[in-house]
Amino acid sequence: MNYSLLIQGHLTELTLICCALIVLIVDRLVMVRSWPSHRYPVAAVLTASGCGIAMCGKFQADEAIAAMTASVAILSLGEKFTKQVGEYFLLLLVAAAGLVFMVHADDLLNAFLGLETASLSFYVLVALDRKRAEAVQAGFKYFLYGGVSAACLLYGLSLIYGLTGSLNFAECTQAFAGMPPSPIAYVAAVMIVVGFAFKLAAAPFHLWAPDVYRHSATPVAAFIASASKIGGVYLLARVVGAFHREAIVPAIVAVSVMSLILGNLAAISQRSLTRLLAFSAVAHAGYVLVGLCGASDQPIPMGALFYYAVTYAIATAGAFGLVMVLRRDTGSDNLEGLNGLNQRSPALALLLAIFVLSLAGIPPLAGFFGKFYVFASVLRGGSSLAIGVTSLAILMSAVSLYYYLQVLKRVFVLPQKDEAQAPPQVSRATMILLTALALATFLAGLYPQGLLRSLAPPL
Amino acid sequence: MISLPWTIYLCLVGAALLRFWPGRSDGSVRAGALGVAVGALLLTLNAACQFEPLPDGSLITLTKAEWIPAIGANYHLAADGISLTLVLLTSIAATVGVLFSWNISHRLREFFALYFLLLAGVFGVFLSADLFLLFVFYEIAIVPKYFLIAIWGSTNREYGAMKLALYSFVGSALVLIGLLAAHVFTGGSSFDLATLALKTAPAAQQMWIYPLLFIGFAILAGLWPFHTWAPTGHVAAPTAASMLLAGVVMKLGAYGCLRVAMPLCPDALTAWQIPFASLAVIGILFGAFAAMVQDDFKFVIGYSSVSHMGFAMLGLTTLTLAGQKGAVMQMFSHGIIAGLLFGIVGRMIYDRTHTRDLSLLQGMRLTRRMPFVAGAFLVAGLASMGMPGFSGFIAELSVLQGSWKPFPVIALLAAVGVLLAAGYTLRVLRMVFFPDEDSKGRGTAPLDPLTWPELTGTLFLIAIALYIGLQPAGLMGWIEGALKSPLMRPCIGGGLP
Repeated sequence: MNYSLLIQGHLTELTLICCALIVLIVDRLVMVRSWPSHRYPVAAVLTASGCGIAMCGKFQADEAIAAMTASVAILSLGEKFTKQVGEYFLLLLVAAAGLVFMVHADDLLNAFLGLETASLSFYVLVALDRKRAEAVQAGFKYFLYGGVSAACLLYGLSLIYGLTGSLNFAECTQAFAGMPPSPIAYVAAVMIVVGFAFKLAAAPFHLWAPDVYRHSATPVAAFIASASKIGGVYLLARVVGAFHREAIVPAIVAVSVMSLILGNLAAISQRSLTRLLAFSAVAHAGYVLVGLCGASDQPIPMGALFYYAVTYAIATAGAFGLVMVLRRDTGSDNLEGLNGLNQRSPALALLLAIFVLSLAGIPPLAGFFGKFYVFASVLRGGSSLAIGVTSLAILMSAVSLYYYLQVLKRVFVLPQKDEAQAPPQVSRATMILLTALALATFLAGLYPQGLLRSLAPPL
Repeated sequence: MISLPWTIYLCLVGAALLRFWPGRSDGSVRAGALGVAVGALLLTLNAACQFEPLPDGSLITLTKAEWIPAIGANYHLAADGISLTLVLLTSIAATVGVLFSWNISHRLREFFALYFLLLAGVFGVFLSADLFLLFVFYEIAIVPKYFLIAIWGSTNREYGAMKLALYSFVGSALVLIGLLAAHVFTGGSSFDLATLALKTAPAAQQMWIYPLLFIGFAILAGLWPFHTWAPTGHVAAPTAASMLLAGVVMKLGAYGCLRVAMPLCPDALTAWQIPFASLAVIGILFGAFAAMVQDDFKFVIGYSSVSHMGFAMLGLTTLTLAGQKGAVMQMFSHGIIAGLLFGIVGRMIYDRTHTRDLSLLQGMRLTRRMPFVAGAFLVAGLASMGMPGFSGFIAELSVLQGSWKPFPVIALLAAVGVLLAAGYTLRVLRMVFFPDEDSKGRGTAPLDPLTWPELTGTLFLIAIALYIGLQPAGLMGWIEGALKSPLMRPCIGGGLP
């Protein structure tokens, strides 16, 4: 075995792991004793620079995950929710390393290991704020659901192994190519889709999402909503590409349709911004799954899905940044707290508008082109099933405008509750990060080719 | 011609500048806004003077650059006689709209920023020759409309604004489905208008793509039964926004039908001709009857817009040269006249009397207190009911002429609509300006005098309606030339090139 090749292939993960160890050692050995008040900034800067090193190279899924991790690390500076600083950043980096390992994996079992490494870190991250009972409860709920989904996924993978005798992506693709759809393939398909639906918060397996989004610390929620989505979408697309398409498409269509309808309709009645974002995540999982509903002779639209996942992650991370500002300002994440934000801080209002409108899919923001490209690529196969699902998705995105505009109505139209309210306190780091995310959303939408060109599909 | 794209950029830059305009004085913001609008008007006039249509009348490319090769979308702006007509209308409406919002002082900078963002979207739609680009501009125009109405509107503004936004977005969702389908069924390599119109999807697919595109766009044009956003939206909107809504935004819809839906689906046109013509004529009659029984002055104008846009839609469905010519002419003419009516009712009357209730206005003796307004409304009313000498007459006559041959019954019903227009116009004219002598006079206190921006704007619009009414040949020539181009030939009943 050639170790230098192995190291080269996993350089990103190794960088992240090393960075995690450095962060832990520095925090535990130096910072706790000498400068306790500087623990957060130092750990965040170390994490962000570790991710920065990991981002060297072509901007692909692993670099995108590292970039989102760096953003979350900077975001953490605004909400110092735990005293276990070193452990917190360690878990972030380990989760990121797990996701990157999953993205790099060429083999289903390795991918599963990466996914579980990341998921276990997520469970702990959610429950890390031990003093709040809701956080622990959300973490436990997430753990239970996640455990069941992992079991489903693993069972599905075992059936794939039984059918093909291999877990390698390329070999599976070949083995499935000539095979007629058997009942076992359908069972495996359902198991895999159920497992991924849990991870992506697609209906009807989304029940953990509103609680986790609401009760975990804001940066943790931002991390779960952004980086893990990029990895999840990427892996799902590869698994679907390697699997028996005819068997798996019906299950995907079912989950996609349910997510589109339930996510968009349930989001309408939400009163808390985080729960609204959670149901919007359910809806967005639906749009992503539309991208996998294409005809069976059609290649998976890897570029479109990657663009969608990355721009969605950026906009969601930005929106969670504003959740954090809102929480510091009003003490809760109720939508009422946003009333009249534009009068108090036009800059924050503009940032929120950019993120929300991107999620709603209004051009020239990135969310629009993401949806457009996913739909256009799926329709290229010309199957009438794809036309139906895409039409539903487009119409449901018209529904989604309603609740996104409700948020913006509070920000721009309604007056603030009491006139003398001071503008919300935002640290400079958060402001710079949010501005960068908003710029990325805007530029990626204006010139999508830049981001698309960087991805050479591995399939 | 080359100056036309700059209308878009000027509006975008103007929006950004006005949003962050320094200083405390509102006067300089207004002057700046007027400067941007007049700048756009001058750019358009410059282009109109230089305009030399190609021999076959097709689109003249203004800018073309590769944009997103992954889906075959280009940044392609182009213009022909039809786009030029509508760009001209937009820049006129923009200028007059600024004049009629001179009294706004609440969050003035944001108002003009959104105003010019909306206009940038509208200019963009009229100048796009790439359908992806057109759709992007079409959607850019939706969000500013919502905020313009929700923040600066009056009656039921949040409801009206949301209704308008959702109707527009549902319409654009239908358009998006249709566009994607047309893109995919023509090979999935391009969004260029000319390419898609040349290749066209298989006839069986066109049969369902066409209604999606047509209805999707027609929602914004106020086609019955999808018109219900229009009266509430117009009533809720601040004056300048209702002028833009009726004046140009409704035209986006009609323009989309003509420029996108029809050329893309030439084989489905005749099959859907009668259904759509029926909807259009129902809209004409329904709008007119509804306008006749309203108590709110602005609702009268709102429903009359539905009725008048019905003529434009009817003209589109005739598939004859006269009908199409009349339709485009009606878009222009209604843009001018509806802008004038909304300006008079929303700005001149409502901002002074603080009521739009016809029975209250009846007792206010407005003719004696505001003779200029009475005179202006009289002229605008005559123009609106299609008096010869005004632009509306030529447009509606041409539509009726075009629709006589394909469907005489519908043409007759539409002609009844012209009579009804006289009915509801005269009704409000009598109630508000010439009430019976015995009605109790309540208001005697002097009203605020008219200001120069209102006077200028009103006279400007009346002059244009008259000029086009008396000298339609120039505009008609542009429109006719463009309609005879190979791209538009299926729309006037000619075969494929």
